[in-house]
Amino acid sequence: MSETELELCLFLFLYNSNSLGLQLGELLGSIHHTYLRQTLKTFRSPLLGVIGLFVVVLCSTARGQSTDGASAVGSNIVRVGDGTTGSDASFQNKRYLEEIANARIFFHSLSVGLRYEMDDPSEVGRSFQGLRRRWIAYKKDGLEMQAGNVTALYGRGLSMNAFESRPINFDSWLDGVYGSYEHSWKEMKEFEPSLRIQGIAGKLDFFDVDTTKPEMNVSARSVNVEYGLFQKKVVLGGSFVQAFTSVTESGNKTTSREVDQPELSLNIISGEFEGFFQYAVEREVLTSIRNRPDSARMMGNAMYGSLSYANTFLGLTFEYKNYKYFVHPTGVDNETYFGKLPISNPPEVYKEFTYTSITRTTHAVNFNDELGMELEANITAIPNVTITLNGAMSSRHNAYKTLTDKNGIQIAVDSTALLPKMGDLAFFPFWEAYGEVEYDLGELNYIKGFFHRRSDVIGYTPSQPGLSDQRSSTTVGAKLQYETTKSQSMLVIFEHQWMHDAASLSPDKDFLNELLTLQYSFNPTITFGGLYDFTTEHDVPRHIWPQAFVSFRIGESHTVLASYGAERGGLNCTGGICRLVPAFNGLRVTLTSQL
Amino acid sequence: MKSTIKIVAIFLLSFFSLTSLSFAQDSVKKDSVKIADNMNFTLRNVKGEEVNFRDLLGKGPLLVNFWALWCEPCKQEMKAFKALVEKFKAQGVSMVAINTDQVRSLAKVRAYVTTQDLPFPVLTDPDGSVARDNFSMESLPYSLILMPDGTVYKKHIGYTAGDEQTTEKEIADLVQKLSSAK
Repeated sequence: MSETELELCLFLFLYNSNSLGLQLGELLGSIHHTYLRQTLKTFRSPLLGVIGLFVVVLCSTARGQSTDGASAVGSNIVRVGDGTTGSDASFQNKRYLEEIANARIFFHSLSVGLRYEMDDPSEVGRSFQGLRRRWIAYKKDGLEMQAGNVTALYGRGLSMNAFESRPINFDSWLDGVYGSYEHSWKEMKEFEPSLRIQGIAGKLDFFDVDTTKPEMNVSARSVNVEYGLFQKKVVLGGSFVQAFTSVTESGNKTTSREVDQPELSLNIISGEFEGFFQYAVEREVLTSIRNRPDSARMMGNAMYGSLSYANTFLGLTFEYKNYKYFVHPTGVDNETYFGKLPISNPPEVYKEFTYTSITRTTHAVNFNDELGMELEANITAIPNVTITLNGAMSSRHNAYKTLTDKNGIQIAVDSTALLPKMGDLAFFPFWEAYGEVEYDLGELNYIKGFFHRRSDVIGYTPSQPGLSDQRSSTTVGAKLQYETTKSQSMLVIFEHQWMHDAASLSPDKDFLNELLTLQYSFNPTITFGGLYDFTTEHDVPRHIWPQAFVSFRIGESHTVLASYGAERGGLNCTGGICRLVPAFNGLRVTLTSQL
Repeated sequence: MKSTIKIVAIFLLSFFSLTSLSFAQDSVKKDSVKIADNMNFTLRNVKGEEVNFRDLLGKGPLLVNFWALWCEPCKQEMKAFKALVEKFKAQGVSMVAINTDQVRSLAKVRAYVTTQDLPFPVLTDPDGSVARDNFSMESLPYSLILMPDGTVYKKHIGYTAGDEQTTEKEIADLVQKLSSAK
């Protein structure tokens, strides 16, 4: 995710992710008339719809508001891109148009939600045209019911966290029903117990962000019960998820699976401390493999815990993960059928960064087999100074190196480990350390300096460990925000990174990355700026990616963001699910309206 | 057929948008406070306590600030609003911050909020559903000035240093309108 702070983290929210944020794209350059006509012709049909919606949105004075008994809110996003994508050696034309319109109508205890999407095509992943979301909900006195597109979150999402990330085109919402009921016994003042029951059932046609993977059809039902005490200072939870999945591959061969996932959770808040613990078991049975009846079984589990301490000077948060949804003793092939359900999305347990250089090579979590921990400290004990420190490490349970199974695959299993193994590349060790100091210059002006060091193993070569893909980087940077006048401000961010890529094809495995971001704002209407992205990397034909961007507010409800230039591309991650977004060169325009 | 579906969908959404406009009203002139239906929801604060959003309304102007740990401008905006709310406290202006971080960052939110010593409640909306469904949030930073009945008086998408001065003027105007309407 980026950091340009283009005042709207528009992409960042849309992209709510760890990466590319500021790799904005391109502002208008010189476009020949014939080219423009072709472009408009390509977009003609959807463009009409977009213009129609845009007019409605623009004409509105933006108060989705209430009268006696009813209220409504709405939003609209139009994203257009036109340029080229891929490496500079083999680039392809890239055009996309995405229109997303949301409407919510509230009438007393009832509400209706609709979202219309029109990708022609989408920027990433599969395109969609039609009503992506439609639901009706009833909420009153602790009772909540919803039918249509539904989602649910149990605890930290080890067994149920259906979510959507538009930028990587990940969507695990179910089509079905959701219900919850909550009651607190407030008259029992000392204990004030409470009970919350929620359940969800539905179906999902899931498309992995890896578009080479086949569609997975999921049918799931689950229930979650939370019992609270002392005004929910203590909450004990339990869930059960049952799911049936089927994957149909070429030749119309289907593999079916049944999954049962019971889990327990405990949350305790006491004064300056908060603790959370969740443990889920995943029992999987393959009822058929490629149309042949089968009964292969697999047991997996997942554990997550956090402990935090906070006062007005110091905040400490420790998190621990031990994910073993599927520790594959015979290799990763069966991961297509076994493994974490798409509706289970637990925390990654590493920091979400806001600097482009750091996020470009972020760590991709292997939820099926990874354990690790993270410690973060927020220190505000010194007047005008805020210090943030963060450290994280992780590794896999399994290493493929010493033994050989019947299929000839080298393997060593160490699934009982509770701590990450950092000294052996075969376990895919990852670690990073981060420190940031912010000094408040007064009047909302500030200057920041940061340091980041990361090491990650992307790929391991059992026969030649020395050729494994290990990347390490050291990044330093500074950021300055300064109000030049009462209505104007500037932002400068500089990032310098030393990279080592062991898998580089070049004899010289070391190179530099630099990124300079400049932004100037005439509040509250216009913000403009540019980025200068530079590398000495040997394996890429291009070494400079310049960009310019401008954002413009129309009234209080609409914002246009346009960028033009070259984007380097990189890993875009949301919730630990990552998609490699290729480089882009061209124009991007986004219009956001919030009514 | 597809074109027809598109046209119908666009028409429906346009209708809903226009309908929402027809609901717009000048609530400043209302004698009694009737809270809007979409303001009836419950979220937990960082101490784990449940807060019904309706309970925050009905007293005076309410500044609602949506933010997330990953959103640097949001944190700057919240810092700016902190000073603003303290300035208008005597006029009945209050504030609530709604955190929209996903579940992956939930554990860190409480520690961050506590160290900032914020003089207003901070609620958590882990999947952002309330922010999206009830306030049509599509991007961050996002902030609203609500009237006592929950009607949106002004909204702000995005934040750069200095934007808080516009917000300050709008709050001052609303305070004046409300006091003259009494």
